[in-house]
Amino acid sequence: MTTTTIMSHGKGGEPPAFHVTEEHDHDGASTVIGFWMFLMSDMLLFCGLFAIYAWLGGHYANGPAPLDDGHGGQLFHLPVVAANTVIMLLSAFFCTMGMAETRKGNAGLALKWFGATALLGACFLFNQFSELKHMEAIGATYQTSAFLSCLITLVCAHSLHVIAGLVWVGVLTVQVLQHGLNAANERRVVCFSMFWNFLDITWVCVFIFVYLMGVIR
Amino acid sequence: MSDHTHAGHAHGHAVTEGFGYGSVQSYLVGLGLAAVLSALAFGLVAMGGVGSIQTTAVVLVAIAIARVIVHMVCFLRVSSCSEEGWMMVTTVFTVMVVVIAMIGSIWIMLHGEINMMPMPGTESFRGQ
Repeated sequence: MTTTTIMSHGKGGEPPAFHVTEEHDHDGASTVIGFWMFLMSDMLLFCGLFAIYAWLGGHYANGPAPLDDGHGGQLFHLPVVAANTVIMLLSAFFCTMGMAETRKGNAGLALKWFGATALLGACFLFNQFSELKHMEAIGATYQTSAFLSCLITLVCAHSLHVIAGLVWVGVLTVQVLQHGLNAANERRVVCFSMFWNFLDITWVCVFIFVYLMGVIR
Repeated sequence: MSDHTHAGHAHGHAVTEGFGYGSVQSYLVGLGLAAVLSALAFGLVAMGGVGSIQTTAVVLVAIAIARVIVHMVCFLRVSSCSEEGWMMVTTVFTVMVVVIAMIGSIWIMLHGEINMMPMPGTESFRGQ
């Protein structure tokens, strides 16, 4: 559909426009709240995954269980989970510090904080990937039991978000290096910071509801 | 982006003004509180829990909620005045939907489970 704008030049000065400009000047003021609403809907996606896990988390199908991987060990390695928790918390803190530096206009410092955030994010992914590899090696795969299916879906959904965050911080770095901290980039930084903090909130739910609850069960 | 052409540069920080930036102090407080809460959760499980499994689970849920609130308040600066209250409104609404969906799903699925015939192979190696 095309919008036809009827304009005819009058007696000089402003040309009379016979249409109402529906779009107000977009200065990006609604981006932050809009992105927040996206995060809230993303939270609903995770809510679905958690609900499935709450239901199927006990269906081991004679396969590996959190405290027993069938090879005399535990499936859930709490030291790794604790390390990941520290990594996620620190990275969320670094990211927030980066946002604070952006606010002050220190592009260099902000990029350093974001670099540290990305580095920790990569460490987190490495840990998660190693855990999955280990699980695969002992035969705890997606197909083994309902418990493992929903566990791997949930954990991978979170890891995919972290991967998206890493891509984002890379693109953001290029943007800031090219254009500096202009209004658009500042807005992107705020959105990224919200996204990364949301990742940490999700990880809190994963480690408490999945890992810690699984161990005391 | 259109921002390069119009007044985007002129009003500088106005685009994100509604978003409540915190101070470094509030971030440090958030970091400290979050670290303590996480350590508490892991410590609790490492000690073998408090009393029964149910009590431990309730304490863990309380810690999770506290940790999320710390994050929202100290890092994300969600308050009743950020973005003219819309951030708070959407958050409360989402939490409401999450609670209804979680409680509803668990309630219905577990009842369905209880009414199912006992199936072989639902136990783990340990016979849980």
